[in-house]
Amino acid sequence: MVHKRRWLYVISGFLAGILLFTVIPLERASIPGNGQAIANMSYADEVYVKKLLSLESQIRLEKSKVQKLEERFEQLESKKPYLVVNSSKNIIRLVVDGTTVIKSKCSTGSYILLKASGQREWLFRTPKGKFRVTVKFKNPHWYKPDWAYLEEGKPIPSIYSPKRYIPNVLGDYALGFGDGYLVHGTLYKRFLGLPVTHGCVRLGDEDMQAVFNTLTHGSKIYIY
Amino acid sequence: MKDFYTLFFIVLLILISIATGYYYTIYKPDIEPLNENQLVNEDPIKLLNQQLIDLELNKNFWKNKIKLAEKEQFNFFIDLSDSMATLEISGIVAHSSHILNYEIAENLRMLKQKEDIIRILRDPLHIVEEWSSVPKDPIRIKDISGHEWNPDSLNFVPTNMDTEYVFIVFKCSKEFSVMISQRAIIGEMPSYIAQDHLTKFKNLANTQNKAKDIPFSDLIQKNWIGIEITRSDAIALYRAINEQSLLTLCL
Repeated sequence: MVHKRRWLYVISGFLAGILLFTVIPLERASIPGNGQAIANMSYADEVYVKKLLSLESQIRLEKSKVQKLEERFEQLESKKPYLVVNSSKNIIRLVVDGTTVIKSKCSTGSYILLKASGQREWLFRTPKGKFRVTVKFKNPHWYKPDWAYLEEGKPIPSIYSPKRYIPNVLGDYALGFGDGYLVHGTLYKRFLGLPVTHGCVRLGDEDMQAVFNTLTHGSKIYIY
Repeated sequence: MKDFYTLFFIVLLILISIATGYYYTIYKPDIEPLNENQLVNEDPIKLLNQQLIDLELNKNFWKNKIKLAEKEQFNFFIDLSDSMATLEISGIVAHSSHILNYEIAENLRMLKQKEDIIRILRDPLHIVEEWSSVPKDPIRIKDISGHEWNPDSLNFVPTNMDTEYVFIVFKCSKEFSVMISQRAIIGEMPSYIAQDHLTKFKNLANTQNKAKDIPFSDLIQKNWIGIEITRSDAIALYRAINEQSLLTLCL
């Protein structure tokens, strides 16, 4: 009886060994592709590592390309001073050598559409886009246009009338940027930061002086 | 003889322990399928491929910036990798604003479709149509036609632009749409966009909601992104962009 049990132990042990070392590896090998992967493990590793290295070198190359493009873009920025006007927030930025040296409040067009008799109408908006300084004035006079008289309810004088030239309302300095639009100083400093003008850009006295002294004929003004 | 059997069982137990350990640690096959994110996280090659695609998108973005720097018009750039939305003209960054939050269409997030995204974003996008909850030009009318000599009786009609929630949709070329919204508290917005900040983009775009009470639903196409910026930035960007402006993205 004891003899029979011993043989049973031997046979069961033998079968367990076969199961662990033969059936399980067979099960593993039966998963599609795995048998081959195991057989070529060293080759696969080699291919994998080569692919990794190739990708890494491609990434290094692409990074240097992006870096060069970024540098090229930075070089495109003008080294000459320019003025940026944000007409939505009513803020100006004076940029010199790529650095903002002044950021301050301004006043831009009110977007009021003035309708007068005879189907005459004026829209008081500051133009948007890229402009250049066309003219520079010290102690500028304001040529009062028709709409200003209409707004005040006063009779409109002749276009040649000297009464139209009004001193001391545009501050000490003005820069023209085309179509009669100016960047100028103002008497109405409490309105700085608000859209109240008839299309010109109004600045505080100190800012206007700095802008006048920095920008030259042909300097760029960007308005958005 | 008894010692032989004891030794035999000890050896057998050791062999079984080694085999079991080997099977469950080193040799056990991964039968559980991995999802795409797990694959990207775990496979260095997939990670590097992803990085390469991102660099390709970044390279296109900078190429477009340089190309558009020659143009004398305001162009709009959205760089999600840098969380910046910028307005540029002639190589000058006129305005830049931080992207506070964003959401992109599901198909733009899928790794498999990145090749298509590179193709779509290779060149700047044209703005085909636009819709906004705020007017482009906030015009107020002052009518003095009937009473020119009496300034006290001016007819002044202000708009409620300062209280309007800002939501802008650009329908662009290549089946791409860009939505810009101000960061706001729910309740400030009109009902058709009064949902959780970013899910509003998702719901509007993914459900292809064409309800008539949503005035801009036709402008949302299969490729879309929605960004959140401050109210004043949204207005400034929108008012500077015109029909000639081009839009460039880096996802």
